[in-house]
Amino acid sequence: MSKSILRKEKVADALNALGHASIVYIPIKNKRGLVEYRELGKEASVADIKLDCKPDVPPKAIMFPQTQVLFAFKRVGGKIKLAPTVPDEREKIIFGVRPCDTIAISVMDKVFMGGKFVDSYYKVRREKVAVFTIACDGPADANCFCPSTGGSPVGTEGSDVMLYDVGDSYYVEGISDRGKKLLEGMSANLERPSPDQEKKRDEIIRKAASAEGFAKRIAPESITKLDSSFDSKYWDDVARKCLSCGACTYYCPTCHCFDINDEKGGKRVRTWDSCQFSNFTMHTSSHNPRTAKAQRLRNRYYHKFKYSKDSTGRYLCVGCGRCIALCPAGLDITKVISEVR
Amino acid sequence: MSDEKIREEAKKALRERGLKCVIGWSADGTPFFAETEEDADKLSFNEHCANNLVTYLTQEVRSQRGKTRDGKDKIVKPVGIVVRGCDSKALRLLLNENILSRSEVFIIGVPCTGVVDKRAGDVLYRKCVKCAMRNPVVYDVLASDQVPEDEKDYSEVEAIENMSPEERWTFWEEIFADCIRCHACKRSCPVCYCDECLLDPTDVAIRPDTTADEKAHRPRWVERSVNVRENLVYHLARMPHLAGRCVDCGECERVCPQRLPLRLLTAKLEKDVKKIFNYEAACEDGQKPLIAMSKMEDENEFIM
Repeated sequence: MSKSILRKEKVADALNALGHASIVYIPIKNKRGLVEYRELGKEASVADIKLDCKPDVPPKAIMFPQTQVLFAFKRVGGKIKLAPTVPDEREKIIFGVRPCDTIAISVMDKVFMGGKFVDSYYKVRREKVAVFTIACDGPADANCFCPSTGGSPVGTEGSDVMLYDVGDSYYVEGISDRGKKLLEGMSANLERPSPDQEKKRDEIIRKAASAEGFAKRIAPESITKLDSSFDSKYWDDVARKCLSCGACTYYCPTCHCFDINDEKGGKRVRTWDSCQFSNFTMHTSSHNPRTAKAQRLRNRYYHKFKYSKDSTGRYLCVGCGRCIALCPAGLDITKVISEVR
Repeated sequence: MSDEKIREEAKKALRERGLKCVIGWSADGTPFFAETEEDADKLSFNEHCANNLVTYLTQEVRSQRGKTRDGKDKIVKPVGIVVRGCDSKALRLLLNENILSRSEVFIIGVPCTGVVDKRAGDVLYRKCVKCAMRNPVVYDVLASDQVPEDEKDYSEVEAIENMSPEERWTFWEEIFADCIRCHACKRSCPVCYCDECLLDPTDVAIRPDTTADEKAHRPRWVERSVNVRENLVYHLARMPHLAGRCVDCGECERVCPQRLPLRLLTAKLEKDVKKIFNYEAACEDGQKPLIAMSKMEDENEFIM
C-alpha cells in the first residue's frame, strides 16, 4: 500500500491511529492567528488542523529547540557533579509539512549529522521524527520562491510520506521505508486510488514542474554576482533599513546557529543565536570581525547563497519566503539577491 | 496629493539645506532613503506606510557624529524625515532628551488617517482605529491638511485592569510564553536608543580593551534561555525604562513576528503615568523628562 488514498473525513481517524505509538504534531492556527505545529491531544485537537496554507512557523524547533538544556551541574562536597538531560523517548510524526520545510530538515541533517562530528543532541531528536509532507499546488503564498533555490512545490526530499490534495481526498505515497511502514499501520483508513485520482496527482506534479505562478524569483546569474560583490557599497545601502533583529533567522527553517551559556541554577544551555546580533561574532579576545550591521547582513546572504553552495553544493535557503513576510523593515531576500551589484 | 508635496519639499530641502538624505517611504510602503532629488521622486505616503522611521533618523544622525583627527567635532549634515503624528511624538521626545538637536533634522509632517496591516489582510492596525495623534506635533512643513483626531481609547487596557490577579497572570503568562525574544520590539523602538541594553544579552557593548574578567562578570539580568520567566523579565523591565518616554506609537506591536499584543503594556504605562504623575510623554517642546522631576503632589506612599 505504498500508494493509496486517505479521504479527508478520515484524516482525524488516521491521525488518532498514528497517535497511539507516536507524538503527532499538526499545523493549527494559534490564538494570535499564526499557523504553527502543536502536539496533537495535548495542545491541539484534530478539528483545528490547518492544511490549506503554509504555516507561519516552520517545524524546526521540534528537532532543534530554541532553548535546550545540555546538562545540569552542581557542586557536591568540593566536586562538580554533572547530570545529563534525558531526551524524549517517543517516536514523533510531523504531519502536514510543506516541501520547503521538509527539504530544510535534510539541510539541517547535513549540518548536524552529515560531517565528521555528529551533534548527538540533534541526532537523538531527529532520528525519532518522521515527516508527512503535503505537496503544494504551485506557490502556497505570494512570498514563495522554492524553484529558485532548487526546490519544488512537490519536492519529496526528506519526506517519509507524501500527501497530494486531490480534492475530497489526499493521495498518499510512502517515500522512505519508515514512511511505508507507518502507512501499513494506517491501512484501515486507506483505500486504493482510482484512475481519476492518479490522474489528478500526476497533474499536480506536472504543474509544479513548470514552476508557473511564482511572483518571486532569484535568477541564477544574480547569485553568481555574489562572487564579485563582497566589497560593494550595495550592502551598506541594503543594511540601512535593517534593524538587526533576529526575526529572519529565527523563522528561517534552515538557520541553525546557536550559542551556549552556563545559566543560573547550574545549567549549560544551548539557545538559538542570530548572525544579525552584534555579539554573534564576538571573539574571546574582545575583537569583533563584524561590528557593522552591513557586515552582518551581508554575511547572512553570503552564507545562504555562496558559502554553503561552495562547501556543500546546495543553498542554505529553501525559498519559503518567511523572512520576507516577517521582516519589520520590508527587506525581501529575492530582491536583495536579484539587485546585487 | 501629499506625495507631490512630500517630493517637492524633500527636493527643496536636499537642495537648499544640504541634507544627507530624506528618510521616507516608497510607494510599496517600505522605508526609503532619498539622497538625491531624483530619489526624492520615489517618496510616497499611503496606507501601507507603516514603519515608524524615527529609529532610522537617530541612526543616520549618530553615524555622522564623532571627532576629526585634530579633535574637532565632525560636521553633521542634517537629515530629513517624513513623519506621521505618532512618529512625530517620538521624534519630539528625542529632541527633548537631547538625543537629536532640532538643527540636525528637517521634518516633513504627514497627517495620517491610519495605516494597514499587510499580514492581517490589509485591515487597519489596532492602534489606528482610534487614534489621538494623527497630526504631526513637530515639523518644518506639512504635506497635507490636518485631520480630525479621536479621544485616546483605553478600553482594552481597562478590560485587563478589571481582571482578577489570577486571570491577569494567566493572560500575560500565555503571551510571554509565545515570545521568541528576536528583539524586534526593542530594535525598532524609536526611544530605545541605548548602545547597550541590560535586557538584551545578544548585544553587550564590548570594546577591544574589555577584559575577559569584565565580560565574565557582566550583570546578566536576563539569560539567553527563552522561557516564560526570562521573557517576562525582558518585557516588564523594559516598561519602567519607557515610563514618561513611550508615546505609544505601537511600533513594537507592529513588528512583532509572533503578533504579541505589546501595546497593552505601553498603553497601560501611558495611562498610569498620566494618572500618577499627571505627565504625558512628548506633549510639548522642551518638556523636562519625567524621571528628572519631582512634585510635592506626586504620590509617594511607597517611599515614605
